[in-house]
Amino acid sequence: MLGAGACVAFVGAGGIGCHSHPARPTPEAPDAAPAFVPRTFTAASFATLSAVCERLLPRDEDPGAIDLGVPTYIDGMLASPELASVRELLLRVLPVLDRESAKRYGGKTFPQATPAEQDVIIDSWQHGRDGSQHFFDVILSLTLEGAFGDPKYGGNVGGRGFAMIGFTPDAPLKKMPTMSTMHHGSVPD
Amino acid sequence: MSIEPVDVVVVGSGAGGAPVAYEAANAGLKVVILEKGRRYRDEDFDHDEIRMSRRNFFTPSVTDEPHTLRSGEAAKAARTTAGWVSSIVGGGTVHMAGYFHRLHPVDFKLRSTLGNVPSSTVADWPITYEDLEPFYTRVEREVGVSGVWHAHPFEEPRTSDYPLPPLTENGFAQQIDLACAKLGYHPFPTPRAIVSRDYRGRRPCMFCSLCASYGCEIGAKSSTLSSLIPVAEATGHCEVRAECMATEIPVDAAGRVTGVVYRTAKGESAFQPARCVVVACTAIESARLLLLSRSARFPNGLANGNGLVGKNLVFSGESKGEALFKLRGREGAKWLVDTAPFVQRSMQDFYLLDRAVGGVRKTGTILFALAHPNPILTAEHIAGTGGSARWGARLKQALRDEALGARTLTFENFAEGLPTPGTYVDLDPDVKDRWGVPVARITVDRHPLDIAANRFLAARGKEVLDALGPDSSRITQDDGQDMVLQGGTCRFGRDPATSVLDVDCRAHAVPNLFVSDSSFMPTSGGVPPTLTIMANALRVGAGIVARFKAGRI
Repeated sequence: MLGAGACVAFVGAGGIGCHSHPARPTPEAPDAAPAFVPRTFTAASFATLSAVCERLLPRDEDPGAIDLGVPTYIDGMLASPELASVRELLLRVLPVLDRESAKRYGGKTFPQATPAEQDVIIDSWQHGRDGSQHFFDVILSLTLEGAFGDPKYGGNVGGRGFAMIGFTPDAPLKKMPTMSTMHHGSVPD
Repeated sequence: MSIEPVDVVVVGSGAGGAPVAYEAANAGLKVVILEKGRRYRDEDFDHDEIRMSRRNFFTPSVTDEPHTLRSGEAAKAARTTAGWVSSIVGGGTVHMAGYFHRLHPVDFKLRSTLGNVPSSTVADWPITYEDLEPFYTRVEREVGVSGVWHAHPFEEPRTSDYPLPPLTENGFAQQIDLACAKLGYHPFPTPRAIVSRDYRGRRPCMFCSLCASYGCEIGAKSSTLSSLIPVAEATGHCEVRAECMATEIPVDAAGRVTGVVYRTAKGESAFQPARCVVVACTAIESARLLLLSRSARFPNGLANGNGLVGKNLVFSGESKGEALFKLRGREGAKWLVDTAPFVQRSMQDFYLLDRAVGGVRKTGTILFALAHPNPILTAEHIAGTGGSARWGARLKQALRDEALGARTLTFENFAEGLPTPGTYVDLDPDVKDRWGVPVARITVDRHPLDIAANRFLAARGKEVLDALGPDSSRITQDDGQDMVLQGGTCRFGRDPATSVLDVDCRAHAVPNLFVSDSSFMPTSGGVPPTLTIMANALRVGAGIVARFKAGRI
């Protein structure tokens, strides 16, 4: 936007949720795997979340959502008070996915269902009404944040998400010294 | 707490406020800038897309400080963040892309040029391009603008070259030039508020590619934070008071403003007395501040005796498109794998059409650039949303094909957005911000020629993209308006009955009150307005200095 310059292009001003301040959750250690205890979700909901994210961005020759730490990212990010409404949404909907899966697939929770079965449920939410499509959009957006956001938040492990889409962060700047007070000095005409 | 009086208090530190403070401080006047946002150092800006672009780094949250927006007076206004520019020291100039085109002479006399436009309140400006030209020249020098003089036949008249040579161009630029030569069009290097060489103690652009929606961590972008503000402060006459939001401008019995009431970072109320007040906190928020400043003398808001504060709101029209160029099949095309981030091409062949096409004569500027490299944004754009979103294996493949395996060239248009009687700002009767203060309500009634101008430019933009032989191309938006590029809520003019400000951007009704942001603009123009806002603010500052010197304030 301000392309105006200023304006032109204030890109993505929306993002998710409504914050008073930039969210700065503590980064999760990506290698905490065996003893990982989610902060936001129950173990069951975290498993469901992980399964949904993995279907949205599945592993193929490139890493998938779980490889990239996406569920860990979402769990950590949603601990931030500013994202309370998003947290409430996920806490409410993830158990619904499990119940829907159990009803359709003989008692299997969402993570226990086959990938094809999981896709049927996701598809129904994507094309659903009464806010279900909103849930789909939110979880897709969170998944992409986790896969392609700054690794310091626990997702995009090793910058492998960046590599997947050819983004090179800070490439020219890494060579530069930090410049703190440079241009606050004298100003020759 | 008693605060020392100053000569000038400026509300806002962006394109409209900083030039006034700069001019006044350099002349020895004592200046305080009140800025509602925080102050950051260069090194506080990073490339964290989540922090900078996806939460509320630059603009307030919709729960804390919303605007409300409705299409027409019959509609219900809904909470939105639209219309906020940037609450930070430096304002919108911190996160701008820095497209620094000047207006053209026709923009100053649109009413005379077009004649009566039914359903529009289009008006001529009370000054001409020639009046503003010296200030364009000065701003380009003071802040540092790069560009090329005599680059195309539709160029506005200039009296001197750009102070800095153009930024390095991506190879797409030459492809656009070749295609346009065949089409008979005249693209030219986009002037940028980015320093291309060492300039007045600042280091040049390092081509990190993340300009728009980010602050520049090396100060190469010519924001007021990197250019004018440090110089104004170095005079010893200017203090920037961050995290201080103006809430009211009181008047005395004689109808003169006495200073500014503001809320400090701690939430306490304070008063800064001043001999003159300059309001520059964006067209929407400046109108809100005046409307909130009610008194016995101005019961409907400060300087609003004629009811025109908030009226004649204009936005820049916006249309966009993009074309995909896959790397596969184009091996050996060096221009396609060029890592220089800036394509740097604009086109103004259709700025003013000789004769109306579908009713449209005045359009604006087409600007070509590579797609914004923000990685999450890129992935979201490729995925889409809702029922048509791609996910799963299809999304993975699309990311490989369209992000890793291709470049995306875009165009973005800045079209004339005509003022209408139904497009204005007032105070929302129901919605208040977190401090209980009524918020700005934006009512939009678009002029049909706005959308026609957008569509005209979108078709031309796509024609150029298609001439480059892409794998695919599409118009992604053909009827938008950029609500960051706003103006007009305190129109300037010679007649106190039809304008809020006089030729010097001083309120007709209040002798020591000035408004120096884009509020003064009677029409939007066909370029991004930032440079024009700065040039006019420097003109306003020079006028204030002259008044002080003559003892007329």
